[in-house]
Formats: sequence, structure tokens, C-alpha cells
Amino acid sequence: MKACSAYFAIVLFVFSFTGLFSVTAHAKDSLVLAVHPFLSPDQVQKKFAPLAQYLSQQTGFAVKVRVGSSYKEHIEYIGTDKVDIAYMGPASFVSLLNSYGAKPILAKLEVKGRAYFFGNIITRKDSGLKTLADLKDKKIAFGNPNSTMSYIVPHHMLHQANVFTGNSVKHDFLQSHDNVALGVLSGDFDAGAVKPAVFEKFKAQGLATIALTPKISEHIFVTRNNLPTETIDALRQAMLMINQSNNGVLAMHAIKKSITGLVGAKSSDYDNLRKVIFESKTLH
Amino acid sequence: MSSFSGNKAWVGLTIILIVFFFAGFYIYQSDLKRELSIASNESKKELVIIAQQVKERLQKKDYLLAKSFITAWGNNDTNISEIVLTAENGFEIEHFYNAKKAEKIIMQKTDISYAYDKTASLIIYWNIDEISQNQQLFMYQLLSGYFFIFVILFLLVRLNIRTQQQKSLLQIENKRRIAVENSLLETNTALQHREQDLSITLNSIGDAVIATDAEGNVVRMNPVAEQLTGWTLAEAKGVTLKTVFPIIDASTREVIENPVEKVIASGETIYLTNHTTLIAKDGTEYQIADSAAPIRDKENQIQGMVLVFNNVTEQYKLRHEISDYAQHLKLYREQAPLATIEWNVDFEVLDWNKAAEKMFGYKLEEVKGRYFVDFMLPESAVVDIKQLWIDLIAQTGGTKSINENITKDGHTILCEWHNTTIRDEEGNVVGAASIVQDITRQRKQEEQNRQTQKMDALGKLTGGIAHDFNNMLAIILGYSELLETELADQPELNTFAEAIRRASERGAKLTNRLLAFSRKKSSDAEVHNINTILRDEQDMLQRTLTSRIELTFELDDELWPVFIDAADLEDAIINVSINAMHAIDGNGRLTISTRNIRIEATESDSTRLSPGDYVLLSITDTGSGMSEEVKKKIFDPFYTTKGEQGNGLGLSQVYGFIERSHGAIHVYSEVRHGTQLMLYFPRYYGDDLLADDIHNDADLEVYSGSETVLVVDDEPALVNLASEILRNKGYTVFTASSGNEALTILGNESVDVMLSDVVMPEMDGYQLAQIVQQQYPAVKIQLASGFSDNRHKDTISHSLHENLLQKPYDSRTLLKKIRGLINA
Repeated sequence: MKACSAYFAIVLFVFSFTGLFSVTAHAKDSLVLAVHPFLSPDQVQKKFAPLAQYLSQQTGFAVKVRVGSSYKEHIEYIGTDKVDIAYMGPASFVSLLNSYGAKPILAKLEVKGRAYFFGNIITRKDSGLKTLADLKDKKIAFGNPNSTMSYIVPHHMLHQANVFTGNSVKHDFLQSHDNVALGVLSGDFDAGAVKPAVFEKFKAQGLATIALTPKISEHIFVTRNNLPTETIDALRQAMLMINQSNNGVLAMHAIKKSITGLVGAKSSDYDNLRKVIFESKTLH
Repeated sequence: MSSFSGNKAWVGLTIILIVFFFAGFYIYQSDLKRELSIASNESKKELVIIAQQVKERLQKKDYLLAKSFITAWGNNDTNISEIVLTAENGFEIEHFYNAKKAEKIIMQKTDISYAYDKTASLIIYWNIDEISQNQQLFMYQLLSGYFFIFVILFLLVRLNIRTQQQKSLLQIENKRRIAVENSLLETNTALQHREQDLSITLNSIGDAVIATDAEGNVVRMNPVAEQLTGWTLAEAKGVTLKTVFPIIDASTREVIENPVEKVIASGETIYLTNHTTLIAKDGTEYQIADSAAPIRDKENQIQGMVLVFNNVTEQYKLRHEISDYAQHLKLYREQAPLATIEWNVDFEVLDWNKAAEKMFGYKLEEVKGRYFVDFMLPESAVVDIKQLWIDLIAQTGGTKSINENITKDGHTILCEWHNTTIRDEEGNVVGAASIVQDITRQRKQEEQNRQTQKMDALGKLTGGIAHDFNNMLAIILGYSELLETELADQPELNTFAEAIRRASERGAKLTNRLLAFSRKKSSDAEVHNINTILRDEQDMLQRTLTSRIELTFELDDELWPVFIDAADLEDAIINVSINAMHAIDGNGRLTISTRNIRIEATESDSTRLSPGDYVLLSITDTGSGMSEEVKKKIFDPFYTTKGEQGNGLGLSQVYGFIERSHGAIHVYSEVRHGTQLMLYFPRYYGDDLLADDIHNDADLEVYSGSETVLVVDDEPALVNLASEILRNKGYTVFTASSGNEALTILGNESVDVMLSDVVMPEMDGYQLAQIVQQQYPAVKIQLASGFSDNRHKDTISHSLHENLLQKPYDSRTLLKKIRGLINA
């Protein structure tokens, strides 16, 4: 009797350790990095896989990339802590804050040495339009209605400039910055809003900038609220040190070649955008 | 006929080819048109499809999609080269380029209205390269076919023509062969003519010509070469040039290397030396001038050698004669006794001969290029000579002049110049030449002759006057003596008669003196020993001179006899002694010496005595001496320095006595030192003395030598005389006219003996001797003097003073002294 009990205790003891390991292994085993669908899933996977691998090496966690089916789903999943890490555009982050409250922030992008970006309100060089006021009753091209720089912020600026008075709102959403540039160049639209990279791309073909948007903080990495602090710290540390190693640099350039690093961020960095979004929703 | 049918065949062939060409071209064009039409239709269809798709996307404002569609379509359709979608405002929304660039395209265009007020244009460029290539291939095939057909037809036609041509070719060939033969014949004839011309030309050449082959064997000769070498062409052909043309050096007689080997080896033209002698076959020798050159063919290879030469024997001889003549001329010029000088137009020396060197003392190299005026003229003559030169160059005069010149050692000589200009072929004056004669002695001789003639004339005049006067005096004397006798009792009147007589007697004495001066011949001449006369007269002489004058005799005991009037001699001695006494202030000395002396030929001119033996009577005083001006006149009758005290006839008498005795009188005088008169009397030989006692020049050879002697004397004539005596006996002589000049010469030249006069201005011989003894102890010193001057005697060694050479000295005495001093 006593031998059986001892045997049973030993087996239990051994299995208990196994269980601990498995629990522990499961707890440290994987993290999900969610990305909004700004490109096709395959393209997004390809862009963020090196970052996932880098984070895995740095933290010991197996980081996997998941692409949301829509911007809304993406916000919802991180808002409800269904994913561990989320990569978000500034507008999405503001929406996240507004809907789900603050989340632990890991870092934000630094692009060409700047942790902010802005947009260009553009027209053709020969259009004769010099100021935002000149755009009154003109046809404006925007990109995606969810896009910070191709719609949200420039739209707010135009409203501020009293361009959209009355009911004759002549604008279209052309879904992409490139389409906006092409629409303006082909003469179908008098002006448009694009990101600086697109402006530079089509500048030589005859674009000119009427105005620049305010600086908006760059894309950001956040985590779910209930992620262990040490994990958050490890992730944050890895991100902030990303440009110190070759693998980290490769991971940055896989997302965007112009990324020069990941820097610290706080919610208040996005207060100006929150205000714009708020005013856009309530006033326009 | 055959050519006509051949042409027809070619024409036919050409027509067929043209027909084929146009047919093929038509087919080609038709096919091309069809292909292009197909391509156009297809492109239009595609354009419509693309335009539709693009329109849909533009309507959605999805420009990116429109762009990507166009790109995708273009990439998938290889017929499309480019697609261009352009907005209404001209903006190219998309411009697709196919990676494969098309060479040939067709364009299709359509407009796309995608909005109410928007129209874009769509253009596609359809690639028709394949069509073009196909057509090109078709063209090649067509052309290949043409070519094939052409070749077939060509061959057929050709075959036909050839057959016909062969027939006529035979005829042509025959004609051609005949023509070639004729041409060959003409060529041969031409060659023969050419050969003849060559031979004629060669034979006409005045120079000898020999041509050889590359081995040096003769292949051709002209008649001149045959004549000079002695070989005919037939004999020489094939023989080596060495054999036919043996040459030697005219000067050394050594064989000269034959030119053929040299020319063939070097390939260059060579010229044989000026002294080449050709030895003909018969042994005759010709001086030749020649050249040898290689003969080259078209490839510049040496085929042989041509030797051209001519006989220059006459010229060679003439050249040697000219050379000899020039040499003789040069020798003549060098050895001519007169100085010859050549000048340029600027009066600078170009050349002068040995005689000029001797005359002026300058070597040619010292004067060449120098302006004459700078070194040969005294200041007083410069202006005149410059003018003379101007006249000479202008050919208006200047051909002759007599002027003083200065020699290198500072002596002044008198020269007679004969000048002439040298002109070139155009007559321009390019220089001048002068012949110069030193007439210093000659002029002196003339002066002496003039003096003699003057004395003769004076003698005749005074003689004539004296003679007439004597006659008158004789009458006066005679009658005065008669009157004395008649008036013996009338003392007062007797006194008058006595006075008349005495005056007449005095007059007679005076006229006798004049007669003595003028008499040519002494009627009381006999053979005397002068020493005897002197000794007899010594007492009387001493009394006449008074005690203040010390009378000294230095008589040669071996004195030769002379043929003279003893009374005249006594008178002469008295006259001279009295003159000496008058010249001595206070106490003094009169030395009368005699010695034998031989006058050599070299001394003849200066002594005015014929060469031979003489007795020399010297009377030397320590009086005040005479200037040159006084010396010239002392023998003139009635010339006196004693004012009213002298009658001026004393020395005139002496002169006349000497002349009558066939002797000579010389005067040496130095102011403040004294005067020396030297009376030369010919030795009286008698019949038994003529042969035995005559000395000959060979005796003096024992005194010859090659040492260097410096002769110092302020009297140029004495310097020249001593120099000539010494040079004739082989001595090297330097001359100086003063003690300072002597010291300068001693400082520059190596001198063995110095012969110096004692009495000289500024520095006398004693002072000079003292300096020389101190500075140049190796130089031996011989002093000479005509005066017994004891000044500075104590400054020199006693032997120098004791061995003083008394002037005048003869050659033998001088040479003996010098030789003895050197040998001591």
C-alpha cells in the first residue's frame, strides 16, 4: 500500500512538473502581432514577419503576425484584448482610445528620423490655386475615408478654411493616395490630399502643395491590457533597441525602408488628432 | 556577227530579269498590303477592348487600376509596342512600353469618354516588325530566286556567247600575237637605239668613264678611259678594275685602295684624293681627279659601279708651280732687305716681313691689327702721316714720304716710305702696301758728305781768297821792307813802315793758315812715327798749356808709321790743345794717346774710313764740352766760341791736314765732361808691309760667341756700332740708351754681359754698374769711356775702373774684351 502511494506521488510529482512546464510553456510560447489591412494579407505578412522573428529572438516568445479583415475588426480585437500586440495607424489608435480606453504603448515609428508625419493638400502647378480658400467650390479628391492624412485631417483643415460651405460638397474618395495624385493630375479633381511620399512621387509630373497638415504622430505599437508587465517591458525594450542589431534593422526596413527606429510614445502625442477627429464627427 | 548575237542574248536576259523584277515587286507589295491590313484590323479590335476596360476604371476614378490594366494588357500582348492613356488636359495617365522595342509600328487611336465632361485618349502602337521581317524574308527569297534564275540564264547565254566568241577569239589572238611581235620588234629597236645613244653619250663625255658590275669587273669604258688607261674596251671587258685602273698616291707613291670595293660595300659616292696618279698600261702616269658611285636598279640594289675621272696632270703641275711660286714669293718677301708692310684700309698692319721686324724691332704678332700711328710714329709726325694716308687711299698722293719712326726700343730712325694702294678687280681700294728703307745712316752719310763738300768748298773759297790776298800781302810786305830800308834815317816814318810790315806779316800768317786749310796735298809729307813727334813736342806743349792743365801721354809703343806732314801735325796738336785749354776752367787734364786700330768693314760707314789699319791719335780734355750744334760747326772756317779772341781757323786747319793725310777726324764731346778728338791716319805699309801685316777677319772668329750682351750708351751711333760688331760674331744683343732702360731690360731678359758707357745723363755707368752688381751679380760688366772721368769711381770695384775700355775702340778690342770677360 505504502509503495503504491509513493509511486503514485512520484508520478503525480513528475506530471505536476510537466504540467507546470506546459503551462509555463504555453504562457511564454507565443504572442500575436495584429496588423491592420492596409495591404493584402500576404503583403502584410511579408512585411511584418521579420519583426515578429526579431521580437521572438529578443523576448523568447514566438511572435506570430495576424492581419485583420478590416480596420474595424483590427481595432475591436486589440480593444478587447483578443490579440497581444497591435500595429495601428494614428487614426485607428485614436479610435481605439475613444472606444476602449488606453492601452500599454510599446513604441511608435520613427520615419527618416521623425516620429511624426504630415500630409500635403495638393493641386496641379498650373491650376492657379494658392490657398485653401481658393478651393471653395472646387472638386477635391481624398483617399480612404479612414485615412488620417488622405482624408481625416485634410478634410478638417478644409472645413476650418470654409471650403465646404453649403451643400455642394464636391469630393470623392479614391481609396488610395496614388489615385488622388493621378486624379488631380488628370484634371478630374482640382485638389487632393496625399501623404508626402506620394506627393514626391508625382511632384515632377506637375503637382504643387497648397498646404501641409499639422504633424501627426506616427503609427504605433500597443499591447493588450492584461499582458504581463515583464512581457510588455521585454517587448518595449526590444522595440526601442531595434536599430541596434542587424536583425532589428532588417525588420524595420521590411515594414518600410524609411523607418529609422522605434521611439517611446504616449497617448498625449495623439491629442491633436483626437481633437480633429472629434471635431470632424461632431461639427462636420 | 558573233558580238551582235551575243549582245542580243544579253539584252534578252536583261529584259527577262526586268520582267521578273517587276513581277516580284508587285507580289511583294500585294502581300505587304494584305498583312498590314490584317494587322490594322487586329489592332483596332484590341484598341476597342482596351478602351472599354480603361473606361470602366476611369469611371470609378481608379486610375491605378486603369494603369495596371494597361500594363498587364501590354505585357500579355506581344503585338503591342506602346499604349498611351492621356487625360484631356494632356497628362499621360499611363504610358506603357513593351520591353521589346519595335522597329515598325502602326498606330490606332480612340477617345474614351468616362465622365460627362471628361474624355481621355487611348493610343496603341501595334508592332508590325514581324510583318516587316516576313516581307523581308519574302524579298530575300524572291531575290534568291531571281539570282538563281539569273545565274541559269546567265550561264546559258554565256555558253552560247562563248562558243561564238571562241571563234572570233582565235582571229583576235592571231591579230594580237602579230601586234605583240611588232611591239617586241619595236622595243628591241628602241633598246638598240637606246644602247647606241648611251654609247654615243658615253663616248661624247669629255671625262673618262668606266662602269663595272657588282664584282668590280669592267663592263663598259668610253674612249677617254681607253686613252688614259691604255686598255681598250675589248681588252678590259671582264677584267677587274684594279687591273685596268691602278692608282697610287702622287706624294708617297703608295698604292691607293681601289674605289670599287669601297663603293660597292658602302653604297656611297666617294671621291679620290687630290694626289691620285693613274698608271696607264704603258707606264705613263696621269694625275687624275675622280669620283666613284654605285649603279642601282629599280629595287635600289647595287648592280655595279661607275667611275668618272679626268686628266688633271697640267692643273696638278700648275698648282705645284703656283705653290712653289708662292713659296718663293714668300721667301723673297721674308728675305728681302727692305721692309715690306701690308695694311688694311684703316692703316692697320696685316703683314710685315723679317726686314720690318729687324728695322722696327716688333715681331709681326706684336703689330698685327694695330694702328700704325699708335706705335711707330713720333708725336710730331702724326698729323702729317694721317694726311698722307688719307691722300694715299684717295689716290691723290701719299705714295712717298720721308719721316721719322720710333722703334720698339725707343730709338728714332729716319725712314723712306714708298706706298701703294691695293685694289680689287673692281678697282676699289682694299688696302695698301709699303716698302720701307731705313735711311738714317744714309742721311748721316749724306750730311757728312755735305759737310765734307762744304769744307771742300770752303777750302777752295778760302784758298782762293788766301791766295789772292797773299799776293797782295807779298806786295805790301815787299814794299814795306823797302820803305824800312829807305826810311832808316827817319825814325818816325820808319816806325810807320815797320808797322805796315808787321801787319803784313801777320796777315801773311793768317793767309797761310787759310791756305793750310784749303791745301789738298801736303808737299812735306813723309813717313813718321807720331809718338816721336809727340815726344818732341811735349815740353813745348806743356808750357803752352800752363801748369793748370796736366798733360798726359798714353802712347802705344808698337805704333805703326804714318805718312804725314810733321809740321802740320804739330800745328794740329797745338790747335787742339789750345782749344782744350780754353775749354777747361781752372785745373784740368789733357790726355794725348796713340794706338793702332783696325777699321772693319762694319765700321767703315760710321768712321768714314775705308777698312784697313790706322793709327789713332786721341786728344781728350776735361773741359766744358760742346753741344751738338757747336760740334757741327767747329771745323767751319772762322767759327769760334771764343768771341773776338778766336779767329776760327784752328780746327779748320786741323780738318784740312787730316783730309790731306787721307785720314779722318771724329769728335766726341759731352757737355760738362769734356771733348775727345780722334784723328785717324792710315797706316803706312811700305812695300814689305802690305802682305804680311794685314789682318783678316778670320782672326776675329776666336772672339765669337752666343752669349747675350746688353749695350748701354746714350750715343745711338755708338750703340749701333757696338751692336753690329757683336751680332756679327753671333752674340745676342739688347740695347739701351740709359741706365734706367738697361735695368728694365735686365729685369726681363737673361743677360750675360753688360757693356756700358760711363758718361750718361741721369745715371752714369758707375752708378749703373753698382746697381747691377747688387741686383744681378751674375751679369758681367764692361765699362767704356772716352773721358777720364773719375766721378763715382769709388763706388765700383777697382778692377772695373782699371779695365775701362777706352773709346774709340775697334772691333778687335771690343770683341777681345767681351770674350775675355765671359771666359774669366
